[in-house]
Amino acid sequence: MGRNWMEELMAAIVEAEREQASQIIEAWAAEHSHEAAVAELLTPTLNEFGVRWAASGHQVSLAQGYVAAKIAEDLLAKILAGREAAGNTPLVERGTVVLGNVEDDYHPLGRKMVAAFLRMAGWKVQDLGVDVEAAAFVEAALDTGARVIGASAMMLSTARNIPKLRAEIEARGLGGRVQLAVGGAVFKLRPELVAEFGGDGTCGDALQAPALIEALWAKSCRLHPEAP
Amino acid sequence: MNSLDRVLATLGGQPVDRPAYTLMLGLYGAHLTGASLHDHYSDPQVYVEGQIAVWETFGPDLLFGPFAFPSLAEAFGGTLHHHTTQPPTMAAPPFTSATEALARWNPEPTDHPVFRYLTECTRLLTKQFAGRVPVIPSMPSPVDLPVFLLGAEGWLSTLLFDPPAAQRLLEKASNFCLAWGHQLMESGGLALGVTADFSSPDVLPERLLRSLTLPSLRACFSGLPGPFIFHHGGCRLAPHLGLLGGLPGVAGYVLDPRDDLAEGRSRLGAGPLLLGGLNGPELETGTAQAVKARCLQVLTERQADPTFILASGNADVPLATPPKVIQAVGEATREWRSVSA
Repeated sequence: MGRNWMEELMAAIVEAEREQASQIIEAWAAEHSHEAAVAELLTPTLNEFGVRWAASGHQVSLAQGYVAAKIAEDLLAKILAGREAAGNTPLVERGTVVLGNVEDDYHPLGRKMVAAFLRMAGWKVQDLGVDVEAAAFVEAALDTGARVIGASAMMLSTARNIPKLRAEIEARGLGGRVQLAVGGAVFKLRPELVAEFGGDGTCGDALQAPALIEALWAKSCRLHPEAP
Repeated sequence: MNSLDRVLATLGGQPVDRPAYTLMLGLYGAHLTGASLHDHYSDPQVYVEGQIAVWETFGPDLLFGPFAFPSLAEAFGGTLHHHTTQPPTMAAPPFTSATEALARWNPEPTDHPVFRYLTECTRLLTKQFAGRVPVIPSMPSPVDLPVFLLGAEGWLSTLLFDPPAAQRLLEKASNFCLAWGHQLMESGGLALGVTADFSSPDVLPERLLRSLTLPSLRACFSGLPGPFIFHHGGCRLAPHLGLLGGLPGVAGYVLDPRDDLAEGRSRLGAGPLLLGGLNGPELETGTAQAVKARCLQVLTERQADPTFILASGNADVPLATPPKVIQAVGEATREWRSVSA
């Protein structure tokens, strides 16, 4: 009987064992490829992990999410190195997403994890860092053609700066075309704030970010099919 | 009964004239005095004047020292970002690695104005409210202190990927917390409030809790006079009290607003204080009527629990919270018996 790669990898993620997870992926990639590992091993494993964890009533721990993001980064780095060595183009299959912590927010960890999962899913991430003013988010979206901005805020006090970002999007006539994803601890505690502060969507943890961005991107394309 | 009598009676499971309550109103003192947050979080006299105003306006049964842990980063060489609506946050951590933190560790507890401020706040508060209102100074436990040395990501990655370095930093942090905790308790606090997010299964896998952070927590608590009030920090606590209950010297647990209070009591058993029922930051958008109704509901649900204190979890009550909303909490505790009779 062959190895159950997904179960092995999931067990490593549950225990937040980065090295063990890396060994499993390397063993799998030796028979297939690193690029195939994204779609055929890591992504379905992370999806199943999220589903099982939600069904069990537990939340994904910070360590599990962080190690999963590191595994994704490690794998992506190997893919990019392989492409570079072969003279191939960088791995970006989708559009650009602008990410940042809102003005006055200095809690970067969740944003970095989201960036890792988005890159693994083929998005190009324009990461603006912490304490980003509303105008800078929107200008970055215009510069890159991003249809989604992801704004992170940990606390209620800093999440209050998100309406400024919504106002900036509307003031430039970009409502609907540029979708606003919001995330951070405060939105887990008070999901009603997503709509109240002008967000178009959120998700419970970084693992779910690619699905959220994909949905918001599709919504933008439906509302404004023209190229941004 | 005054507040001290009420809290001590609750601690002992004895009858009280009305349920004890407290809210995280350290920040709110600045709203009442009109002080700048910079002064509020750097001048002990200004902070204490704020807490006097808090007590005279609302009369909570417990008062707290400043809940401004990111300020510690400044004492170690990091930088802060000062806000107009919340306590300072860490803009950049002092160190980039555990090795650097250990090599450049400075200051010791009494050396820096940040620590002098925190200790002096406790000393002045306990002097002001001696015999009337208990005062709880607070500090991060040794498992959380490194967050303010390396940043959350730096500390998490050290724990996950370099356990020997994490162990060395935990030992140093434990010694530091022992010295500082003694200093805070000698300043007169009734109990020491501590957070320990990095002892929660919501943060770390159980293998690391058992091998690294929980032993460090036990060693630190065993070496301090206590008692301790274990604050949930940013994590749920009730589901994990089987693991975290029974830590040495812990007299009470402040639960997360998402926690089920009945579950918390069930896991803790009779005896330790259980504090919770309200979400501090959420009070800002509540109405007095709704908040009072919530308080009465919680008090009714916990009426058979003699060691329960109605309290707010999460961060400070925001500056913009209407005073009537805060007053509604105290009113609920005064009216509760007649409502429940």
